[in-house]
Amino acid sequence: MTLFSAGLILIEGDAGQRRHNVFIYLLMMHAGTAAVIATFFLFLPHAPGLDFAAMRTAAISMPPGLRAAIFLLAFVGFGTKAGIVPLHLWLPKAHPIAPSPVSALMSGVMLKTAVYGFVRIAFDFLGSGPAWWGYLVLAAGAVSGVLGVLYAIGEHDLKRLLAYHSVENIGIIYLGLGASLVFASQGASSWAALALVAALLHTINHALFKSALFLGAGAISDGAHTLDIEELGGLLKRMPVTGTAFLIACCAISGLPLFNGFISEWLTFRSFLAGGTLADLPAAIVLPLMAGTLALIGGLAAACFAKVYGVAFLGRARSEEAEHAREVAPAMQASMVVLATACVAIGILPGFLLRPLGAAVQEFVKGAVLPVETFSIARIMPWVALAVVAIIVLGRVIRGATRVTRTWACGMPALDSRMQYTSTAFSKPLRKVFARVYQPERHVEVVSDTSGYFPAAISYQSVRTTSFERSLYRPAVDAIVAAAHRLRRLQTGNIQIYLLYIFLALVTLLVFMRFL
Amino acid sequence: MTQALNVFQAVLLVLIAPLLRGVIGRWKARIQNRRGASVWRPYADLLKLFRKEDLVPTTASGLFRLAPVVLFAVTVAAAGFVPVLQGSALLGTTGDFILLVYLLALGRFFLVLGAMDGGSSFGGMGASREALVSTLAEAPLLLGLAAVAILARTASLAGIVQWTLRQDFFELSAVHALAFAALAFVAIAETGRIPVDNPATHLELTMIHEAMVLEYSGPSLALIEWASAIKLSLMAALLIAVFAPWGMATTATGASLAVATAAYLAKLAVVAAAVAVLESSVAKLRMYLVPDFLGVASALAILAVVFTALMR
Repeated sequence: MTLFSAGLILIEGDAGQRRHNVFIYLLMMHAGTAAVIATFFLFLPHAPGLDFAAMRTAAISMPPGLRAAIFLLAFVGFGTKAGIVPLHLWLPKAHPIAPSPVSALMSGVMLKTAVYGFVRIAFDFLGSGPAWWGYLVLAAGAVSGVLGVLYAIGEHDLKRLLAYHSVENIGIIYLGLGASLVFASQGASSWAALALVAALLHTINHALFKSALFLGAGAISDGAHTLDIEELGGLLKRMPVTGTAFLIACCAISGLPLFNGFISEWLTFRSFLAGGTLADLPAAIVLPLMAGTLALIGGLAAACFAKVYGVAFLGRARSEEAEHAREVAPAMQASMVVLATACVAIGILPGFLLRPLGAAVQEFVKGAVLPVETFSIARIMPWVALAVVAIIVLGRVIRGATRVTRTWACGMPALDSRMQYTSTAFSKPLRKVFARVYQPERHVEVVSDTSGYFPAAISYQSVRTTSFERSLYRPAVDAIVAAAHRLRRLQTGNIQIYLLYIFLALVTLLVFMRFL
Repeated sequence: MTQALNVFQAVLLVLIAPLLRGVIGRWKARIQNRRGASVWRPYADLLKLFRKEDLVPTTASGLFRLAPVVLFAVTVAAAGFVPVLQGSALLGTTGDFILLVYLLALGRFFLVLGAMDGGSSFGGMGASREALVSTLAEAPLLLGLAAVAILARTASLAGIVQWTLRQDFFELSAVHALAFAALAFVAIAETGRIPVDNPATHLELTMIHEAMVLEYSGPSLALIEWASAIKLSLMAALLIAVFAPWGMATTATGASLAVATAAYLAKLAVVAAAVAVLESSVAKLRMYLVPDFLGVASALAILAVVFTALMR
């Protein structure tokens, strides 16, 4: 799957930077695969074969240390493939350079197979474990969620922004999985089932709305020839179908009610709240507090998508291309409309998905019945939708006279597109508040004129690397390179030395074999 | 009967919302030694705006007109969640506070988009600031309510109210004090009152909400103003319902209903007086101090949640 997708990423050419990004992608994917394969090998001494049933029975009789090792390897291996922070490095590099349908596939399906693999091993084979497993997954989810959305807010390349949102949503899924593991370790099986249903539903939901968003990004790049949202604007008027589908997907990913993202976040919230009833003190404190983290993630995501939609689709066009954007082909429209419709349908009538999911998790959490309150959301959402739509229709029917006029310009002749708020300006307050996360490198050069009061020229440059690249990956890479340099002393190029190496190896081997 | 009363209290919440604004404005004026406008003035304003025509910028799309209607619709739907006169609500018996909070977020999302559709820098400026305030206010709002919900062992607002009605005032714990403080902070930020935002200002450098709706006029503006008035009385009703529900009707008789209405109006008057005094005595915060203000609210809400586990 990795190799195929790497090939798909390179469809649109393989210039230098692209090849570098694909290399990072392949490297991290294979590291993840190595960890996953190691997970399976650890089962081998205890299981007669590697079929599911054998692994399940083998896990029961394993020593706790081995179970923990398997869990950690699966966590790291599948975590790399799912893109949890700090193993997410490949995600914002690989997604933006792939063609949009491939990005949709990678975000919608490939990340999900990693989640599936993790659920299979942690819940099914190992049958969940001690509470610290849950806390580890919760922490990974919280960090991925908050950092993913914060990095997204700082972006103005639409596809890289969406890629960071994949990190955020994987974070939300992991929050649900973590809560489920904590509940399972406390023996609260029906709450564990609820949290697991929340995570699985969010997995489905993310596949739907993120695919719609990536296809929307493809439509934008087809219609307006750029993905830099600072160059877009006013697209809703020129691409009404794409614009509407994109708006629905934006609402869904922001976790707003009447759309599907809300349902899964609501379920996650409810399972966190239920954590307050646990007898175990750390769990009773940590789980409800995670509701605050989820609320923060939701708020930041809403702000980010208000930025995306407001800048790209509303207001004035910011460039010639955006001014002359045209709607895409009907087949492209249809694919987005289908996904957007599914987002609304699940958002208003979640019942038809909750029941089968509730049945599905019984396989993982034995004998667990979903708490009755879970289905209250399925009962209330149609009524809320009805009330809201009824009032909207009423409001539209009794609309008064309308006059189209110029935007107020404080009495100045006219406004142009450069006077609008940009994406960078919109996100400035939030970036200022969370400045510690970004730590941008800014270079300001002021060339002053003779008087020293009026600058002749100002150049401003701001480079944003994620702090993980700087503080985690860079030192690791440097250390490996330094070690390689040191090892180079072995390679003298002198044939006699190489013969000596062979001789020494042979002697060591013989001695080793003699005394073993 | 209960259901009829549920409809009545939701309608009451929507209809008296402008009056609450009028009363606060009037009392504020009195404290500041002015005479002030009539308490009915907000109604006259709404009527005037509804009679006018809607001005739509040339650059705007259909969303510009849709946004105020969506905002109004979800705010009215949210009003159906809060128990006002009795321990139940139209939607608040099955629906819970999470849905209520996110309905308000949906309305705000559309208002922010509508502001950016105007194509001027004011709309974007207000939208960006609103996004900052609301993003940071969401976590303490949910955590504050969650703390009380954990105590009451239910997430539905009606359930919380019924649980609190069974408690004595003096039995209420530190959790309530902390959660109340957090939610009061958040309510100020969410409804755009001093010290977070100044509803009376029209200076573009300082305003948040007013900058956002600068491009709106006529019926659209009326819907936005009405919706924000409803949001103010909704937040007040929420605080009253969760922290001081005593006096609500427990039986559906005329007498208990009269008592409930009188008690509610009295409590609302206390809220109005508190807002008027606060707004006359504090200055508006610089915008980058608002995150600190909400940070305090978050800390209080986190403590409230921690205390629910520690104090049992």
